Amino acid sequence: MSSGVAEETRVLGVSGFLGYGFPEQSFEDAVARRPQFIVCDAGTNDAGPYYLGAGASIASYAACKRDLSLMMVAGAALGAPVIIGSAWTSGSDAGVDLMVSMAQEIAGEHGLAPRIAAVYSEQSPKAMEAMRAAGRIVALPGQPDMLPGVMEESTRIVCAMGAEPIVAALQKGADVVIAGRASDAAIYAAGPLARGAAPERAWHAGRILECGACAADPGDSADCLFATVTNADVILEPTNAELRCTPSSVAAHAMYETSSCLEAREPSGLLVLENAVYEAATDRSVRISGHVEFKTDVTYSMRVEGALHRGYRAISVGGIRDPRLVQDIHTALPLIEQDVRRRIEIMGMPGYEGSLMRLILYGLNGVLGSREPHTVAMGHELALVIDVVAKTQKLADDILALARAYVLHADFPGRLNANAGNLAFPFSPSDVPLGEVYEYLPGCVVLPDTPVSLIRSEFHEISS
Amino acid sequence: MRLVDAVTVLRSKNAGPYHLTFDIFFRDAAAFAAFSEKWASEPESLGASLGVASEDVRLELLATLGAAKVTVPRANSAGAATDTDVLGCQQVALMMDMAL
Repeated sequence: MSSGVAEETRVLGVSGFLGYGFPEQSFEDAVARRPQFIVCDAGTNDAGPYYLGAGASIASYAACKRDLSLMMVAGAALGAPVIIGSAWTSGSDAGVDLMVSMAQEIAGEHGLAPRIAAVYSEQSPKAMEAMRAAGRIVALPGQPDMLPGVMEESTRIVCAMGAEPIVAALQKGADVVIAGRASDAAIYAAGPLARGAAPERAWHAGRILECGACAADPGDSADCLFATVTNADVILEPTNAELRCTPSSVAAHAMYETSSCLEAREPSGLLVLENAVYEAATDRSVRISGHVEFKTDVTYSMRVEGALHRGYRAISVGGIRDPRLVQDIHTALPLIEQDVRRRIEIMGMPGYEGSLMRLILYGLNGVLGSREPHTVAMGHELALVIDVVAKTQKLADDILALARAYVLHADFPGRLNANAGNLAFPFSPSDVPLGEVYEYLPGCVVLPDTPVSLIRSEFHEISS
Repeated sequence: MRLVDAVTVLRSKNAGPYHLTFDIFFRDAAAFAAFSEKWASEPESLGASLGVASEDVRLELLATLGAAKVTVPRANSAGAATDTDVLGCQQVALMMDMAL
């Protein structure tokens, strides 16, 4: 890899998520433009804490392997490193290992001999508890201070690495980098940074590339976005001819899924976008320039994500079509719920007190809950989800069995169908055990000794 | 006029697991100006519509884009046992009927 200040760095973001399946034509057209880095994010906290707690992925192995195969074959032909961030959705150590094996499998199938860097960012809950005791865990704005012992109770904790460990892996000659939990922008910024690009351009490009062609018009998270980064500007262009980047599509993406569009905090600094300029470079590409700053007068901090095990879930779904129940559901359901709780209490189930039971009513307030401005159901049918979370799967299943039976047969004013049933079940069995329930740790950052002190890297060589 | 009638894009999404963010792109400069004038001076009613305290509302106005961004804390962290919208993408309904 060359060092010093590079003229330009070409980075290909293949899609918004590994396993989303970018079109081969877009990818081939992008490869023809000789990207120096081929990058894809494989992680998110959008899907909730389950994936971190359980070590599961929201994308299938087969879909991830398809995408990674194309990336690795092209990367080998071009001599361009392939970078994957936040492996297997949560970026756990096991997720990194799984994706390293996937990369090895691909190498074997295609006769490739890459140097694969595994970059781990999972933390032991005990070590994080010690960091908390040492005052190195800081609550995010608006979040409660971390109470003693809570971190230690976590099933799994990862922290989001910055670009430094990825840059280090590239500088050591990695052909494929499989990173654990990482800042989304860092995996795209790492290539330009490794080539000496201006940090503000590298990070700004990373911020836009992280969702693939989402930044295009029409936006498509399952398509390729190509960035050319220089110290003066960043040019962005989707390689699918049917998509185009416009100044507003790119600027709009800069604010996507972030709490501010004026600035973005990364582990090593604050990207200030207030004076960024977005203008058309061609009718399909956008140049971003202007006075963008990457302020490094901040304490190095990494976002911590942890999953706390909160029990086990079981659900049942039923439809309500009886017009007498639909029209009065806003008054009937609270009475039914009260009656269901009373009947379950009569059964005296040990552990019921610590459990959660919800009746989620779609068609009235299933999405907005108590903030729903509509107070009566306006449609002709409703869906009810009976949701139980308890400390064991058996207890959740048992409470649900009672709750489902009592809702099914509950009386309500005006009922004509006697005891026949209030719920149309689309399935038999009607009850579904959903497994573990997790909750995110309160939001916080960890202040490491150095950008790499909480990170471990390993190289895997494959001989062809 | 309702907000939904004055925009080209109106969306909600998680901004991390603890915040919900609303992105608003206005149809024209007049709509942006009307929104800016009304809500910059009445952050408490914006908070009330979104079910949070007014001091918890972060409002950013971007005149060059004709856009606004509103970020509020979530009632529960994303995916917690009592959550009803893990990605936060349907909370946008809270804003649609707001008066501009």
